[in-house]
Formats: sequence, C-alpha cells, structure tokens
Amino acid sequence: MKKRETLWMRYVDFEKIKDMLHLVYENNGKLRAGTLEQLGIEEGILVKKENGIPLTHSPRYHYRKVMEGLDLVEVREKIYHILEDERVLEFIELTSFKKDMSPEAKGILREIIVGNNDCRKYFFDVFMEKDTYTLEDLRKEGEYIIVETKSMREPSADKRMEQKKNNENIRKKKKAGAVILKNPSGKEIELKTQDEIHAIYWGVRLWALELEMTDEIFMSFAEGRIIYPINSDFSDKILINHLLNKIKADNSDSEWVVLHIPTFIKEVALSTRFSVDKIKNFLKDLKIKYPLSTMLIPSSTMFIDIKTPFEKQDSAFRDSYLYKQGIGYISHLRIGRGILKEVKA
Amino acid sequence: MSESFIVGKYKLSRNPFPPAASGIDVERDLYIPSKWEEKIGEYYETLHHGEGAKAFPIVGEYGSGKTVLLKGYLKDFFENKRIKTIYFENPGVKFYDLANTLMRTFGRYGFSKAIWERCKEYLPEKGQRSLFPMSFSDMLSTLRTKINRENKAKELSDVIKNKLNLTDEDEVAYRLGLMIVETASKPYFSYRDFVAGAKGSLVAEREESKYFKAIIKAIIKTYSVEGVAFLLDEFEEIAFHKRMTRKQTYEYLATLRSLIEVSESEENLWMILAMTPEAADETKEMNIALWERFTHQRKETVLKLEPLTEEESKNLIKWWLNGARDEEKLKKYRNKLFPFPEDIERVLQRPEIRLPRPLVRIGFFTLARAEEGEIEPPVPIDFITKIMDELYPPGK
Repeated sequence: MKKRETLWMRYVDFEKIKDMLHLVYENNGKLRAGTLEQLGIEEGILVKKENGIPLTHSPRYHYRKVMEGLDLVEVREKIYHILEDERVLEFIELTSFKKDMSPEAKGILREIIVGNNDCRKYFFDVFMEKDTYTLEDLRKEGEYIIVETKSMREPSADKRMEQKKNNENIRKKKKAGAVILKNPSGKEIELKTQDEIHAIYWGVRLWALELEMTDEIFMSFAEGRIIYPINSDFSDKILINHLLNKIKADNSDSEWVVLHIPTFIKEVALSTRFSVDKIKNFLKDLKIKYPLSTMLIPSSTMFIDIKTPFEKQDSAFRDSYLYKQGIGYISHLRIGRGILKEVKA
Repeated sequence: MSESFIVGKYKLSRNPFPPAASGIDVERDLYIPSKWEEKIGEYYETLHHGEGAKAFPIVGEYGSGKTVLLKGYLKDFFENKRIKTIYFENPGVKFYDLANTLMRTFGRYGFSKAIWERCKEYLPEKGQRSLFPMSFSDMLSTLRTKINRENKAKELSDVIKNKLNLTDEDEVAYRLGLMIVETASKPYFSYRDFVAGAKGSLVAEREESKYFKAIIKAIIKTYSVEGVAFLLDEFEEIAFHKRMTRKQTYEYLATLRSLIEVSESEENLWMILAMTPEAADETKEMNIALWERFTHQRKETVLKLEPLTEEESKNLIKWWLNGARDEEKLKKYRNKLFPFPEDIERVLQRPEIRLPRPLVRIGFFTLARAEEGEIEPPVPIDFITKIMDELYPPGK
C-alpha cells in the first residue's frame, strides 16, 4: 500500500464524527467510502449546517480520514469496520445518534486524541517534557507554548515606517512562512508546509480548544498566541488569594487598585492553568459578591483592536476582555482595599 | 401667580442638572474634589521647575470627569498663570491634524495678522512714509500677484527666522511667511493646508517638531503669554469609527512622541491628555519608553480619576443645586442637599454611582420624576434607589 505523505488531521465537527461513527456501527462491515458518504449526506450529517447543502468532496474525505486516523474505524478491503477497541465501543455506548455528546463521552474522545501518535508528535508533545504521558499528565504537568507566525517575524510597523521614510524599503517576494509552536523550555515544533499548518494549527489545535483540553490567550500581536493545557481542578479560593495578593502588593496610597483584566487573566491562567472562561466568570461574580468594593471599567474597542494589524484577529483579542451586554468590553477592574476585610469576614 | 412646585417645595428655580450629563456645557468654577486640585498643583510645581516634558495624563473611565476637569478647571488653572490653553477634542492621529485644529482655533486672518504685527517693525519701509501706519488688510491688498506674494513671503520668512527667532529652519519660516501672504487670496484654513507635501501646503514636510515649536513661539510672542497648554480630550477615540491600521498606530505614537519632544524642548508647552485606562495601558504597552517620558518615571505624574467619596459626592450634588438658587429668596438654601435627604449617602454605596456623570444623571431624573409625581421633600431614599437601579442596574 502506498504510504500516505500528507497529514490526515483537519478541522472537523466532532458531533458529526460521532454520528458518522454510529452509521458505521449500524452498518458494520457493509459500507464502502462512497456509500458511507452518501448515507452521511442522506442522514443530514455531511451537510452544511446553515443550508443543508451536501459538503464538497474534500471535507467528506477528511471526515472519513479523521475517523480512520483516530483509529475509530478501520478499512479492510475498502469496507468500513468499527475498530474492536474497548474505548471506541465505550464511546459508541455513551453516545447517541444525533444527540449531543455527554461530558463522559467527550472525556473518552479527549483521551483518544491525546493518545494518538500523530496528534502527539505534531502537537501535544511540545507541551510535555517526557515522552510518555496521558491526558491527565498533560493537564497536570503540561507547560504553556507560544505560537510564532510569519508576520510576527516581519519588521514592526515602526521599523517599516522608518524604512519607508529612508527609502530603504526594498520589496521582497513573500514566502509562505512556518508556524512555530514554542515551549519556553526550548522545545519546539515547526509546522513548515501548508499541509502541516492546516492539519495542526487549524486542525488539532482547534480540536484541543473546542474539546476544552487547551485554552488560548492572545494579549498582543508581538507576543503571539499562548496555548496552555487546562487544569480541570478549578478552585476559586486560589483565584481570590491571587487577587488579594495583587491588592496587597500595590503600594500606592489610593483606596483603589486597578487591574488590567487581560493581564490578570494571563497571569492567573499561566500560573494555575484554569480556563479563561472560569477566570472570567470569577471576575464577573466578584461584582455580584462584593458590589461595594468592585467596579468594572469599560473600554472602547479602539484600543483593543489596535493590538493587531489583522482585522480577522480582533475577536481573538477581544476574548481577553470581559463582555457585558449593554455595556460592552470591560478592560479593567477597580477593587477597593476594603475587599481584604470583606473576604476575611 | 402661585409658585411652581419645584420653587415652592424644592426651593429650586429649575431642575439644575443637565439631562444628558455628558458633553455638558462646562462652566467655570465647577466642583472639583480637593485631592484632584492638590495633585495638579503638585505636578505643576514639579514639572514647571524640573527638566523633561511638561506633560501628564489624566486617566479615568467614561463619566469620571475628565472633560470637566480639562475645560472647567485646567483652563482657568493655566490661564491664571498666563499660559494660553487650547482645547482639542478627539485629536487626529497625524501630527498636523493638531496643527490644523490649533490654527483654526485662532483663525487664519487673526493668526496671520498677529504674526505680521510682530514682523512689520523689521520690514523695510518702501516708498514715502504715510501718515497712518499700514494695516494688515492694506498690506494684503498690495499682494495681488503671485510674484508679489512670493517676494513678501521671502521677506517675512527672513524676519521670522532672523529677527523674531521663531525657528532656525528655512522651510518652516517660509511656510509661516506663506501662511501670512496667502491670506490675501484665501482668508481661511482648509485641510489641504496641513497636508505635508501637498501643493501650497502651509506645513513643513518631515519637520513636524520644528514647525510646532515655531507655532508655539509665535503664540507666546504674539499673544504675550508665558506658555501654551494643550488640553487634549478623549485621545483614545481619535475620531475614527474603524479600527486603526498599523500605519495609524505608528502615527498615533509618532504624534505623541513629537508632542513630548516639543514639550521637552525649551518651549513652555504644557500637554495634558485625558484618556481611558485602556488607552493609557495600551500606549504604555506599545512604547514603554515614551510612556515613561510622559509620566516622568518614578515621579509617576498620572492623575487617576477615582470614584468620589461619599462626602465629595454630596458636595457635587450641592454644587449643582446651587445653580438653581441664585434668586434672593432661594439663597438661604444654598449649599444644602435639600430636597435630597441628608442621609443620601445610603444610596451612594456602589462605587460606579459615585462618578460625576452618574451622579448628575441620577440628580436630573430624580428631580424630574419627583416634580412630576409631586413628591413631598425630602425625596425618599426608596424613590431615589428605584431611579438609580433603573439607570444603573446593580451587578453591572
């Protein structure tokens, strides 16, 4: 058999993967690629959510390949079979056709993905020091990584303007640049080809994000996207202690301490590896629990969007802020020192 | 004729609070908490005598009183020190957008005339000396041809550079000379006048700082003041509806840097920027060295506007009520909270309420609805709480 030279991972909706798996299970050993795809379309799985139009050939192909790559199914003599694996069978048992996955089922799926050799080699390994690890190890011991893209390696706006001023701006042919996933300890994975970028940066990375294995922070364009494995043992006691320490460390003579929310989220996320949403909810709850000592300060989006030259990244940057309906984006939290007594009480 | 309810019962000639509470017409002698006054006095003394930029930012969220502080307090503060203030609302990102606003504040005719008045004593007299000195309009009327205007511009630029010493740069001096003589054909400024490199432009290309220095010197000399203070409001908005491009980001920082450079030079230019916390943090993030020059590093000259204390909040309410108590019969109620209850602090617990704008809004709506419902004074706490919670729902 000809060895596959491209990576099989692509962005997919795992609810659809689960439903396709149920189709294979119901018709175990009966379906070829074409008939499986046809059945997927007829059952409303391999169709676009917004208008029901069947997916084109490429995404249909990728849905099949992801099932194969994750070892959920195997193809023997061009016929699809369920892989006789304990976890796969348990996953099928815990899920239902066309019904959302339960947290337990998602847990199994996470383990399958983290256990997959290709996913480890190209993505999860960079978070870990050791070579052998489980999902639990990744959550407990995984380091954060920084994503370095081609545009980050280009000269800054200031430098480019200076170059332009000095007529030194010689046009060079643009090259497709590598995406580098860097662990601060020095370990890194370089995604060099478009195939690798599609498979990992726009594939496995988003699987991990959507299945809540990892979370991401995007504070500034120059710093790059930070990805970290989520610690699922959330504790708001740790967060309140972190907050109180910040207040104690502020030695201004003011009754109020002002915290920049994205910076606070980043600091807490990197030290605790709690998810961004959990930290945001903690901050929102502070206003409800301590209304006399807390104040949310809104910001115009002008200075949020200034953080990146790329309009498509605006929403990623805005995600670092709290959002309140009717108020907008909240950039800062003002906390009265009185909260130190309130929390003790 | 019987007295209206508001006069008879509330002892107010009208509802003194403005309904919108934002963009209010700022009057002089507005209520300013003493801690703000003290900080400003302290920064002035430090920066006036020290080296470095005569500049500091005012950082506060929407409604915290930045505009009021600039227009209602700092204007008088500087003018009492013979420093001319120029207020900029939503300044553009380009440096010359500021020049545009600045020069329009004075008007082309007035500003050109003022510089010409200073120049004319050094200009050679031509022909027979007349009984009455030549006026600015007479001089302009002699400049009908382009050649005449060009010759005069050269003459003026020589005086501007060598006699008035407004600049040491030929181009800057010539542009100022051009501004004066071209007033004959165009007595107003247009946007293109401030586009460097454009045909007939009045600004020098790549000499922003030198051009601005010359303008500042010209203002000081022609208006007989000791300095100039730029009061820049809402620097974060920068009059854009769309996101800033990389180029605009650069221009924003370059403008800030140029202003600081002018302020750091020998010219007595003061620069006070009002900005939101996010704008301040982001400017700091984009260029930490620039921010440190702006805030004088360890001196930390940043005026942070925080929620008022309960006492300050009460004083602010009294100040507004006084505005409707000028009539003789109402004067004895001045400096009183009436018709608000004396224990109004019970509704002023939440810090977001104790900002000037929310206090003024709550004041307006409470009085308006209490008058409409003919509520007997003092207006009950529950009544105020209901209005306050409607305007500013708790938990938000």
